Amino acid sequence: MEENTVRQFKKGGLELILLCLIAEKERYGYELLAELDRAAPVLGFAREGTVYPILYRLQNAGLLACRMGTSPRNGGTKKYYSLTEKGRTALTELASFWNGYAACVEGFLRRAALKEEG
Amino acid sequence: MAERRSEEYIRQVKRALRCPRAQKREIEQDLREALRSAVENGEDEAAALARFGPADEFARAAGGGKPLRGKGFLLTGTLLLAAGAGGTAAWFSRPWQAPGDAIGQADAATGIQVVSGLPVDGPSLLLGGSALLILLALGCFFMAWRRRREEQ
Repeated sequence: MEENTVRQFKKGGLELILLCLIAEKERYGYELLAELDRAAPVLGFAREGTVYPILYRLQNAGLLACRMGTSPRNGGTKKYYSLTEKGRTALTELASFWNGYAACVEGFLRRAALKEEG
Repeated sequence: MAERRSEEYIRQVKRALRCPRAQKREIEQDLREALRSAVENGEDEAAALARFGPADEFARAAGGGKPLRGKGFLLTGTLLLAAGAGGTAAWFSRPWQAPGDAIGQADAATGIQVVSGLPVDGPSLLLGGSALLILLALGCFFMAWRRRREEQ
């Protein structure tokens, strides 16, 4: 399999996945990583070096807000990320684009499969 | 041992970051929090650290917003200005060359006063140039300080 292409797919999708996870409820960095490892094993083991820069970028773009809070688990201070209004709008737009994109790719894959069969 | 490695890693990231100080502090806090969370969840700190990747790569990805041009830009600008002002002052005062109407090189031995064609004499020009330079440098510092405050 073309590793570079797969890496690009994962990177592109990760931004959208992170927005989805934060849209569910506010989360802190490690929680996001753990959830990615649990729910999206196809992405491979989530790395802090990949996830944190995306979080910073989304925060700088005004899509995420953050606050310092206490973890209910052990009382430690954590930085919780939540979606801003702009973030919600961006997520809706990205989701709509993704659906169209996925349908388009699937269409091409079906065509290629039909050609191979025929 | 792992703690020392973490501190070293954080130091390397901070050094490699090209972003405002407030953002650097935020990234440092995030790094510490992520490492603490990994340990709280029973992970090895060294393993968590490895997932951040090389310090310079992480810094480039994390702080890649606005590079601070301040110091280098200011220093180069000031040096160029200083060179320009010094050159101009030297050109007009020409300390190495006797004026055309001087009698030989014996100015000191005669009572003839050599008067410059400029409305100001060399030292005043140098002084004025330096004052202008200092004002320009102060202006640059002020602008850089304001930009930094805005970025924070």
